Amino acid sequence: MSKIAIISQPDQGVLIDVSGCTTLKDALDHLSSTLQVSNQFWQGMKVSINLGALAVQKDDLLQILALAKSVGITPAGVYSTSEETVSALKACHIPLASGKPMTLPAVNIDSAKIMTTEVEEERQKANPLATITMRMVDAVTRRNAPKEQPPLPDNDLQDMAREEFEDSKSESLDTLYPHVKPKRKVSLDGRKVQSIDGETPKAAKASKTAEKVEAAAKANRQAEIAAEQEITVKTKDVEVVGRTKAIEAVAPKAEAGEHQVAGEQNVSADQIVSNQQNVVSEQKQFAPAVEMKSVHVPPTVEAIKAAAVMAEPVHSKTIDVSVQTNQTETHSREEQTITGPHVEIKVMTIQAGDGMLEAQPAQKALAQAATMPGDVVTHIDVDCVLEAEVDPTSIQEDDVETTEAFEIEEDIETDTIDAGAAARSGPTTLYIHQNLRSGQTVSHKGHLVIIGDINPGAEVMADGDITVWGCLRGVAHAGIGGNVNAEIRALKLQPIQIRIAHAIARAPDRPRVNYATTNGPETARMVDGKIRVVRSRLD
Amino acid sequence: MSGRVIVITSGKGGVGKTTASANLGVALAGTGASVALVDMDIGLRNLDILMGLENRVVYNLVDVIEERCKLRQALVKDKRLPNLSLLPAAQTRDKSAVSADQMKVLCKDLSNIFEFVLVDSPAGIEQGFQNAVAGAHEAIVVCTPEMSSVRDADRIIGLLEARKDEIEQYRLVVNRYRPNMVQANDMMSVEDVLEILSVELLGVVPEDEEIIISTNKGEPVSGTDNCKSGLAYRNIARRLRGEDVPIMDFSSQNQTWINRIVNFFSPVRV
Repeated sequence: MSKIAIISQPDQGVLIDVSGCTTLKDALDHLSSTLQVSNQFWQGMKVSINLGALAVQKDDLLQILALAKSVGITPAGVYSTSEETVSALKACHIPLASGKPMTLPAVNIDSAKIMTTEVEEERQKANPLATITMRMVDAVTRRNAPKEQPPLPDNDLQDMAREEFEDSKSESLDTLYPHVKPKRKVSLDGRKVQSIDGETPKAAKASKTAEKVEAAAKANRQAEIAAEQEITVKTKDVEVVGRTKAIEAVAPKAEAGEHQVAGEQNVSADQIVSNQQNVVSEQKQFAPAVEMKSVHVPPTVEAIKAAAVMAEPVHSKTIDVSVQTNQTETHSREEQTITGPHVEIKVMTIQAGDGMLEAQPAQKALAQAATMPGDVVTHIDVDCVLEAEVDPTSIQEDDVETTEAFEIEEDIETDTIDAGAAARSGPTTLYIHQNLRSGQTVSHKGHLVIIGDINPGAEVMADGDITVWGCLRGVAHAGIGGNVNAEIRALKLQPIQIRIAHAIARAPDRPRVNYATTNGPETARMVDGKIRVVRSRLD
Repeated sequence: MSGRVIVITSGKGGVGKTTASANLGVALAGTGASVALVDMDIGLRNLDILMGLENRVVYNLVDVIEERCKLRQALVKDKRLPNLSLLPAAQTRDKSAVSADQMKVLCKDLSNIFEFVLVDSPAGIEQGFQNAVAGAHEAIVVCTPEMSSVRDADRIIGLLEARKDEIEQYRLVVNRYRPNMVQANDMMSVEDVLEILSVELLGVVPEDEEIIISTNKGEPVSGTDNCKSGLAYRNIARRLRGEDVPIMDFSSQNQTWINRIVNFFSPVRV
């Protein structure tokens, strides 16, 4: 067993494994240092401790217990194979954990990529590892290099999109959103609600879109999708939600590579409003994440303010807005900001009285879209859809708010930001505020953030990304579950080995005397099945 | 084919077991033999660094023993010599991860593939040492010409003698030998060491700054020419293969020009 291992899996809690310690003192030292790494982290966690074969007296157990209590945890269970410890546990009323303690995840490396040392064949075989060498790509060359974008012209994409609309294939709401690899420049502009004054400032720009919308409308009428209700769509909403849809609608082509169109569409609302049916169907088209009938949340001033707050570059706020609808159902929204080093994705979950609606797929789709390599996403907001019964005055009122709110947002979003490093929703993040020394292992099913150094001989493993606020000199394995989008980033990236999913990269054979030199923050990610190290942009 | 399993041990730490293992591995492989180096210092692995292979390690000895990978997967081939492989130790485990019986099986497997299996033993006489010697047929005891090291080597030789059934032969390598200090009577001579230990001498390796440089570079000195410690290791390797190579004569070596001139004019030559 490792000298010390912190094994964390959200479904099973956290196991602090000190069974590898040879002496009780070692184990206690490790336990106390581990428990004290982060008070924040342990709270609310199910923590179990593996003492292995160590014989622990009652006094020491009480000491551990007190220590655990001081950081706010009660051990959910203690694993032990020592009889003395078991009896002491009983005396202290600490539950003895049953079953087998969690073990470190097995290293799962593609066997084809493993260095084979076949003695018989070694002369013929070149070392496959040699082909996966880390390349230090300078930021400049990176910037100058052509982006990895499939070279499909715009026309192709639009044609294909239209075809799809005509075939009315886009009605299925529950299809998973295909992977999109867009370089998407998202621009939110909700300056005007076209439904009121009927202006068409964007009509010319969006002529292509208009065609699509009409086609979509027809398609959807055929599909007989909830058109009974009158629905006005606010510009911003349509636009934003439209993006979501656009991902889906264009997905097959997007996969092929052209994304600008999808991303930059501004669905001008006059088309939407000109024909209510159109609106409905367009919503259908562009907002698969939001089911028509159920989401009627009037955008109150409050809600929009909330959205505006979220738009400002102050992140990690959670705003819950309860909105009263005229259906007397309580709709609550939950906004969630996922921040990465370069990326920010906001997902607003729309929850109606009957539980979660289509918010989950939307979230999924957005998260998925954001995780694609080469993606450029600044903000993705999912907002609600207006309901028809809301009287025009209130809408106007809202408009004013929207105008202000989203002008700010627009400013922010003119930047294109490399979203390859996008944070993903889902797994929890483990924070470790500690230096990891040789022989220590940390494994976490989720993202892993180490505030401190990882020295040679230490190993960190995570299902998601590994972020080291310090120097990574040991071995890091991101995406142990096979997630090729996982990334490893560190202030100083000087690892012995980097593993992402099934690939391995090793450090170049350089003299190891100059550890102090650094290239600044760097990120390792998979590009075309190879691990590449890219200097992080500091601007 | 059944290769020779040789354990390199010392009792005391810091005398150069790992350096000797790496250099003998390279030297033996340089003579054309197929060699496996096994790092048994679980939890404090260093042999991979000396070999400059630490960035190629994926699996380790404990993975092999716990059957998480095949033996051949864990073997790391040397950068320069295709007939030299390293089986690295686990860094995140400790000595108790392996038992003596498991080591016997492992050494047996390795000796079926390689002509020489060099096992780098950890310091001490506890379980790590017991595991390291478990599968070995021969032993090389490394010691430096210091009393503490000689005493520990004596203890080790006593333990090896107790395993006469398994260890057929054990020989001594005197490491970090400094002829100048010996001449000045500040260090035990090879003869003094042999007087105490009364074992067969396999070789004498002089102290050399190159060793530190090579450790940092990850290129053992025995792979490079014009380096006296490297030559000493190559000689030991040849002796291991049964050649009769005389022990290096240090009295004529290691003299600077000034020393030689001083000696020439001095009434008593030292």
